[in-house]
Amino acid sequence: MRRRVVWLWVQRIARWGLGGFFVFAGAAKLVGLKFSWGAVWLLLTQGSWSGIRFLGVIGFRDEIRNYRLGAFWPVVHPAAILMPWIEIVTGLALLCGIWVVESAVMIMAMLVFFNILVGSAMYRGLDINCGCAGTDMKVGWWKITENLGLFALGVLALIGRRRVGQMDRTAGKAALTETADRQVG
Amino acid sequence: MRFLARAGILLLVAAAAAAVTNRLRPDGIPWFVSRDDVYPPPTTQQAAAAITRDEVERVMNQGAILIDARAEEKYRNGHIPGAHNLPADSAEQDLWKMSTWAPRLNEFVIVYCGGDECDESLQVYELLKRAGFTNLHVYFGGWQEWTAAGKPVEETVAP
Repeated sequence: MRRRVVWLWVQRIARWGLGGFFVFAGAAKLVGLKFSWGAVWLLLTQGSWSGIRFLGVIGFRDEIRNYRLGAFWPVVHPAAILMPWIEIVTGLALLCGIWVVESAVMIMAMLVFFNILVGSAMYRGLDINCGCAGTDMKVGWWKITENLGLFALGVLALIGRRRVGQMDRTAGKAALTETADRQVG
Repeated sequence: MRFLARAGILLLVAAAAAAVTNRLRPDGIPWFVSRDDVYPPPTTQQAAAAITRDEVERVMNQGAILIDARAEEKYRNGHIPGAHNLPADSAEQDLWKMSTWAPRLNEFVIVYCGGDECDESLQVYELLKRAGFTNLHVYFGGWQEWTAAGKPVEETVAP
């Protein structure tokens, strides 16, 4: 029983963490939010919004553009329009526990794709912002590690869900057997 | 099958929300544009300011001012010998440094960045043009072409 509670909370925390992050990242891309941690400090301590900017859809479009996608240039505008909403919808689904497997797998697929993009930018020596969650983080190993951490949250959410389901099925079978034994006895 | 159907529905919901918000928001963008809208080609003036690697080598010992428009970290790791660092991100604030590197506005100035795929050199080029520099050149091959050709490089030790 205790193991069930542990796995239940592991999958919940992983789901909330990953879903919440993606809802925030999608919303930040939607409004073209741009901030540094220094700007957040300024906002919290002095109530000053001076370091926080909202660049709109063009801001996110430019960040995709900076990846210099070569022959894939036709996807720049559709990606700038679609990507924030894919992140918000899948993040919300995961956060609310709706279609958990589907939304978690979609988010994990996006994380793999983002790491391929970041890796390709690093390989080509591009010195650009990663274009993620509004921060001014550059493409690099930190970003790849962050994405791997988020991917691990997705794995935990899926494993936790599976474990809880297995335990519930086992407990359900045991209860049924017990009831049947009592009836027979 | 159920997995694909649900994933498809999530994508459809996202696509519908994206289409509606893009249509309603004042800064909405078109879904499909030409390549030049995504990656504007160098203007005629910028193209005319292009300089080759051979020309860079020829003029770098004759008093030409080399400007590396990449981020400071990249510059420290290696740059064309004698180049000064004016990162595109902070070029506007650091523009005053140009007065020590190139005291006269008609100095022969060459700007470069990572290579063909970067545009920091063009950003700095435009800034310097607005600041009044008249003899500006862009080395489009940049750091990538320079190192690929095995040309000498210089490192800057952090203070």
